[in-house]
Amino acid sequence: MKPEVYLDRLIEQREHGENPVASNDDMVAGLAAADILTQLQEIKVPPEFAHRLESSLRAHIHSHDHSWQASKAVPIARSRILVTTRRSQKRRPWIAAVGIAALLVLAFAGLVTTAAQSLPGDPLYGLKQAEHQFTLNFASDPQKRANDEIGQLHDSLIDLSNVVSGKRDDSAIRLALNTVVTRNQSSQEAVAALPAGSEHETAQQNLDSVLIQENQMFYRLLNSLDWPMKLIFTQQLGVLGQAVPEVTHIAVHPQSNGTFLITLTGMHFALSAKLMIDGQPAGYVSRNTTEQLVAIISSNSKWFAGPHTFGILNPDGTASQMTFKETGDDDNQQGGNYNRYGTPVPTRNSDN
Amino acid sequence: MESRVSISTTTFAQMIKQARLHDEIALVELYQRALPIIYRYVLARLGRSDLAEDVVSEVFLVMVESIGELRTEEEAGFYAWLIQIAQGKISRVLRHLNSSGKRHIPLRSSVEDYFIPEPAATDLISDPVALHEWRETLEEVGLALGKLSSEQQIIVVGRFLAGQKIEDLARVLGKQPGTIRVLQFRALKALAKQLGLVRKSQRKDEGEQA
Repeated sequence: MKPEVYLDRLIEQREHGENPVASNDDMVAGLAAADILTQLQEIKVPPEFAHRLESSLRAHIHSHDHSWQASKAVPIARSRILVTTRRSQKRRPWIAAVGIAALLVLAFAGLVTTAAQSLPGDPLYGLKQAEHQFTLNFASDPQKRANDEIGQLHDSLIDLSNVVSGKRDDSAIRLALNTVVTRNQSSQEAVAALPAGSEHETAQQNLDSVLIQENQMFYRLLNSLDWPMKLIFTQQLGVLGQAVPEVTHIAVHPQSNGTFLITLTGMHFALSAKLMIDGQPAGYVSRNTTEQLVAIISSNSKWFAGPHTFGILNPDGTASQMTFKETGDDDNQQGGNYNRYGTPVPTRNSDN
Repeated sequence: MESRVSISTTTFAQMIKQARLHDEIALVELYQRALPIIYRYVLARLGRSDLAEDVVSEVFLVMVESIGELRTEEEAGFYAWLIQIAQGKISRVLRHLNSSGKRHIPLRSSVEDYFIPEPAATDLISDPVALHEWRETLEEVGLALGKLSSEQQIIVVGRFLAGQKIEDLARVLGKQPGTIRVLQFRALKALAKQLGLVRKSQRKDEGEQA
């Protein structure tokens, strides 16, 4: 019997619950490899991911219903044009001009197709945005416009995820995030503009589903981002209504043993939050509550040679910081962003 | 292990036809059937849940967009099509990781940064040593799978992750069943070699004889 047939027979016997004895090492090894591959079936698909993706696909199907219907009509329309063109070829010399126009149309279509694959930071991304805007401008009714907006919000989330997982630079990530923020706003407006009724409810459900994805994606991406991007994403999570950390006050007290006691006050600090100075972990956290973090840093620390940012990093990747300018006093009183009480003003936004 | 409900060839063909008309129910049904297979394959190849989720999402988005281009109406052919799409996307991710010097991030060192793929079997979860071995094996399987040809990957994934028969795979790949068996044999032999199973089995035999 040929070895490949023999091995396949052994595999089938194994599938039927039998325990066949292989005759040689090759067969034993082949069976073992088959067993290991079969064990991959033990991997469970994370249910939240499966649910998220299903919702996303459903939203995508809804948002493209109209365009698919339109695209189904294209072959008929095109064939009619072709028939007309063939007739015309015999009679009209200007058909060459039509041919050139058709080529230009095809070239443009190719460009648009390429642009559709582009990501923020790519040369053709502007064209992709323009194409999206064009689609929205010509949406035939509010329902279609809302669906298109939600579909584009979803697409912008995929772009953002691709840009971050593709390790693009911060400017590309900012651009992708700005697109998400814009689409988020316009989607909500488009859905709000729908009259009350079943269409409104369906659109709202679709939007809610995409917004849940947005939240989950932001949290998922946080660990792949650098410090400045963590701050920006945290800010956006706050806009989305999530409880994110915020530093509102910094106090620095020199200790008798030459160390400095740093106290950050604010809200939504995690109990295992880290102190960050200029975007780097620093100091030893001695006490931590949801509203205050107390840390000690050594006197020979490099941090006290000019203005610095002090912040906290929660384990989930959310972060906040503000600027502290050393003035010789315990608390910062002048320079930097301070309010009339001498308290530094949060610079989460401006530091970004 | 979750098991997919077996459906007849006719029903599956009908589902594909409906999906080509962008019928939501049919598309979602296809997605639900294929998700575990594609997810496991992509996760095994990439070894990182975050990357795997991105790739799997892209694969199913392509499925929804391009289902009209799918020529087969057979289940095995449908999976083969999705695996081919996934292969392209995986290659792109690996190229990028290569170029950024992050070719391979072992599962065991990514505990803090990424979700870890967990087996469904509770006996593995409750046994830390077995779980550790499982993760190492998964990492090795991913690398070994990547060294097989595209066609061999389709065959072993179709056979062992999707439970397809040799005859079904032969039909969708346009080959004789005998040829598929040869390709399967070579693929398993190559995998066994990559995974060090040949030596292990020999050592085991030697140990038993002693």
